[in-house]
Amino acid sequence: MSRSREPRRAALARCGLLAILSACAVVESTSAPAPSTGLAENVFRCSVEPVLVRQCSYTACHGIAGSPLRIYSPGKLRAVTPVNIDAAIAPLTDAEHHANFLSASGFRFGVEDPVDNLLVRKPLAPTAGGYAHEGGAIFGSTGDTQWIAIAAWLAGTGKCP
Amino acid sequence: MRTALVLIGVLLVGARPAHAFPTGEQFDLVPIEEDGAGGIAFDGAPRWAGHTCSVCHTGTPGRIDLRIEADHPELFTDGWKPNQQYHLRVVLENTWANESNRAARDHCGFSTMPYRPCDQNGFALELADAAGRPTGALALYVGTACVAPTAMTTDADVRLLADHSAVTHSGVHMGQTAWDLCWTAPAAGGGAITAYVAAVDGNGGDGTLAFPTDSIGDDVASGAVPIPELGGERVAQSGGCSATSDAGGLVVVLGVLAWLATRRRRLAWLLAIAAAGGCVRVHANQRATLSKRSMQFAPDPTEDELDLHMQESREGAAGGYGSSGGGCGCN
Repeated sequence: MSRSREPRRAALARCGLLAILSACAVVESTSAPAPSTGLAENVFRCSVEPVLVRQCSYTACHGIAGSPLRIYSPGKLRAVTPVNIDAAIAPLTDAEHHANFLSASGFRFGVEDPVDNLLVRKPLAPTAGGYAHEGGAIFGSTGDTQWIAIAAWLAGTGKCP
Repeated sequence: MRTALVLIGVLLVGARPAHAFPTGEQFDLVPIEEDGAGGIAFDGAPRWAGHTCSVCHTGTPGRIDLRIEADHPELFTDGWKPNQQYHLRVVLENTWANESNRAARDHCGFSTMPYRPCDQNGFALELADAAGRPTGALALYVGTACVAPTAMTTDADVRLLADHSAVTHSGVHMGQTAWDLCWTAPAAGGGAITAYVAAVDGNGGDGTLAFPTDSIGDDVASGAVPIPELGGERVAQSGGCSATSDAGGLVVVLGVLAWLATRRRRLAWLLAIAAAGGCVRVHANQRATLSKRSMQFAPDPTEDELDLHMQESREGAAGGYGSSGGGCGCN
């Protein structure tokens, strides 16, 4: 009795193993899209970057290399340490413009609603749906033209004049 | 206009942590191309989110003081009189940055050999109504009279923003610790007004030709002076119960002193209750530090749960954390 059961059990184990292996599937490994995907850099440079440089780029605020929103601007933070005052106040280079674009784009990562992220919520007044911001309420309402420019860029509806 | 300035002791002490803007013109230049401020005065007014020179001039020790004087001293005590023109003076006190070159005045900078860094100081001021809108009319003070800004007044020590909503230093002269300007009060019924002012005691860059100006090594002071309308209600100072900037805080101090000195508890209680009336609601955006994750009792409940689970597994006991219950009788 016991001898005839052994081959049967072995066959059953092989069948079970095959059944399990057939259930395995190759999980495709794809990297997440870059946060800047779909965002227009030309629109950023013409309508958003001027707002960020004017309102946010101060050296006690976002003109710091380690800040999550890091903004290069003339006279303040530069990508390359300036050797003199002329270099410090020179217009932004293309590399600095692009770095500003990437830094701001990062706030769109993983967000489904384009206007529900920290880039537009933090500088907005709490009475208008904004979050706490150490630099205070930069935009009083969602009707502020500067706020609208940032929101429109994130939503993909921004245009250059 | 009276020539003799009567000092009014509105002392604005305490610096808060801007940017090197050695000329008044820079306040109006385009930020992204010309190293300008884009029209922001950085005087601490609400329309600039309270930003002062300190948003760029960082690491300042706060040793300088700032004072506003008026030719009509009753401006700060009784209030502003409709359509009255005032001669105001912003004075920097206890300056220290590059003080050794202050006496050199304009004999500094690129024209000197050896190079002597300029004592570059500056200020910004605006007067705003209760809604935070600039009010009244600002003008220059040249010689002994108030004058409208024109091309003929390019030697003036102050400059108006392009939209005339604020006044700043012109940067024409160095070693300045006082700036004169004129302000005409609005028509009657304008209500309480606040003068927002900020100033920089500059050190002339890093002392070399390469960097004649920067935002490092300077000092900053700023403040807000409430001015009631003549015959109107007294102005309630904003900013909560701070003893340094609030009348309510002063009452608290006086109350405690009275209690210590005379043991009159009833008086102390009355003063404390009166001081409580000076408290204001602190807005969400003013509670940034309190809203930080590290300020929460339990910043990450999930992480706490995991820690507890590991602790229970390791020690074979549960409880002793949070609410009572469980454990081995030690809670």
